[in-house]
Amino acid sequence: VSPIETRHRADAARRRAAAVAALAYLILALLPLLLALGPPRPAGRRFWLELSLALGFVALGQIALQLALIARFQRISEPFGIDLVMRYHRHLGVLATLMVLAHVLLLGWQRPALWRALVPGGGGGAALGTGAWSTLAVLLLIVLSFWRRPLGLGYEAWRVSHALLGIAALVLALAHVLLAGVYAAAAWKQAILALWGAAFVGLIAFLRLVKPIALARRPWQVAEVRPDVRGCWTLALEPVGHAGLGFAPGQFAWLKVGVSPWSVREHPLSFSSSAERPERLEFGIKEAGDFTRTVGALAPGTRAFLDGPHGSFSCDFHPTPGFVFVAGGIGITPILSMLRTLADRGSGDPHALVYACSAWDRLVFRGDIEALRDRLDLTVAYVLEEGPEGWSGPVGYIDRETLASALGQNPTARQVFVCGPDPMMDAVEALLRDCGVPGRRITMERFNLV
Amino acid sequence: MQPSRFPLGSSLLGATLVLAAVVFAWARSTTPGGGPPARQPEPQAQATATATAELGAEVWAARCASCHREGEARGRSIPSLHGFAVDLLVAEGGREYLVDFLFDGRVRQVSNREVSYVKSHPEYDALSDAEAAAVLNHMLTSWGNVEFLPEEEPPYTADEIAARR
Repeated sequence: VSPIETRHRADAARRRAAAVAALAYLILALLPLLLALGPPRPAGRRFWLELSLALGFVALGQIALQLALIARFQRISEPFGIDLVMRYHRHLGVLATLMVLAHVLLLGWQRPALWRALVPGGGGGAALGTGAWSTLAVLLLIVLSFWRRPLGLGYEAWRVSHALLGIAALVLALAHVLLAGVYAAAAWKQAILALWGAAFVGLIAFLRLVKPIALARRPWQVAEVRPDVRGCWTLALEPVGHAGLGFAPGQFAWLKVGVSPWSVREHPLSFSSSAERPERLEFGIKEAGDFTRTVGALAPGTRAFLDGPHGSFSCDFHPTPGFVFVAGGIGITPILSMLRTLADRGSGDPHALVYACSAWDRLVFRGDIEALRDRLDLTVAYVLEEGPEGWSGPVGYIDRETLASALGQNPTARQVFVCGPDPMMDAVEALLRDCGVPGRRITMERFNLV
Repeated sequence: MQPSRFPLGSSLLGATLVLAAVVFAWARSTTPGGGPPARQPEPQAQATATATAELGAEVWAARCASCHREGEARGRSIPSLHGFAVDLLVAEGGREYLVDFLFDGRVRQVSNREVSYVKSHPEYDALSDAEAAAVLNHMLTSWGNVEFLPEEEPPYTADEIAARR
């Protein structure tokens, strides 16, 4: 099988997997609406009233599916990449909220008596009450997500609140539909809806309660914490009583260190080590948040647990003859993992790296990259916002010329991997397309997952 | 161009979901579907009081009598309408409440006469305005209810129903 054929097969398989996942999403999200069409159903009513109910059913499906999107199923998220799945989650979550609001406003417009029944003692009944509480849960969830920092809510507290509010919104919305009766007034519909809802709540229960049992069986310990440039560290872990963890270079894992496997204190970290060394894992970490600022103080021997590997940001999933890597700052971490792996595998293909950073003395892992140049056919271009004295390389942000020269003669031949801060990734993506790189040849990972 | 800001996938998924809701609403609003029997023909605009009363009795027989019979209480869930229907009408907000109840299928409490049946009721949106007015008037004038009906309470009209539903 020729390399070109391998590449085409990988592209086609990814497209198929993406289509299947999208179709499954639609069917599961529309299930409550499809059930409503089954008999017995009430007589058809005015368009706006029916639209209000339809939006309510679709919103119910959407709320449930959000629990599945975050449940870290590698097989489902692989064709998209976990960061894209997270953005889907945000978009579709906001859309679900708008649908809930449209449902409430349209229904209130069509049935003004319901507004009066909403006041305590208004005789609204359980159907109206559960609907109102579910709406409040959704709104609170959105407010806490968009204004977490101004509200002074810590990250871990937010995650717990997010999961609990999401589950509450789903359970209350489901009770609302079952109690309201109109379209769900049949035992078979109620049974299917209840099972369907329980499956999504079960997913979260599995992730939070059952999966940690598996994590506890494969513990790790801190082997070493090595300082790199200012504010950046390499954290090395070694397995305790097992063979280690196989992963694809460029992937990441959720790390819990110094806490129980059931703790919500976990952090998504990219591997920086070679995938050929599953028995000693390294992670590149930049001090940015509550946890990352304390990495330097971690003592060797500290117990750790790893949920992974996750992510599709890997050259293993995009077989092309050589790769082009574009890194910004600490975004070099997964790329270093890929370069190290390629070197360990004796890759003879031509690779290129464009590495942007604020200053020469802030270039993380520069020593490691320089060492890799001896083992790989690798061209490296550093782009510095401010060059040191005597610097002759490019200055400022990554520009078209630098990228074009890294891409070489045929910009469609090699997969391009981009990892860095959001504004840089957007700018680089636009420039890459301008250079003639098609969308399917660009793989991006945003590391501000959370 | 910032294509990554709005992934095509979630936009397409979202659009499909909204479209599904609109198609559902359109399909449901243009077909009467199951539930209560099909729509009765509307009476002439200049229908006489007799014709209206006949219509009310007809709708009652077709839609209501299977549960309410002739307005008597049945078990715990179906209250007697003898007198009670008028109690509801004259309670504060009762006139609108009877209309809302007929179309909405939901019950709230009506306070000043301590009326507290809180049960659900089938929705009768398939009724025309004239049919709804006629059947409400039928209920309020049958089984001796007319004796309790205050003179200042006029019969329901199709226009009043149309404004409320």
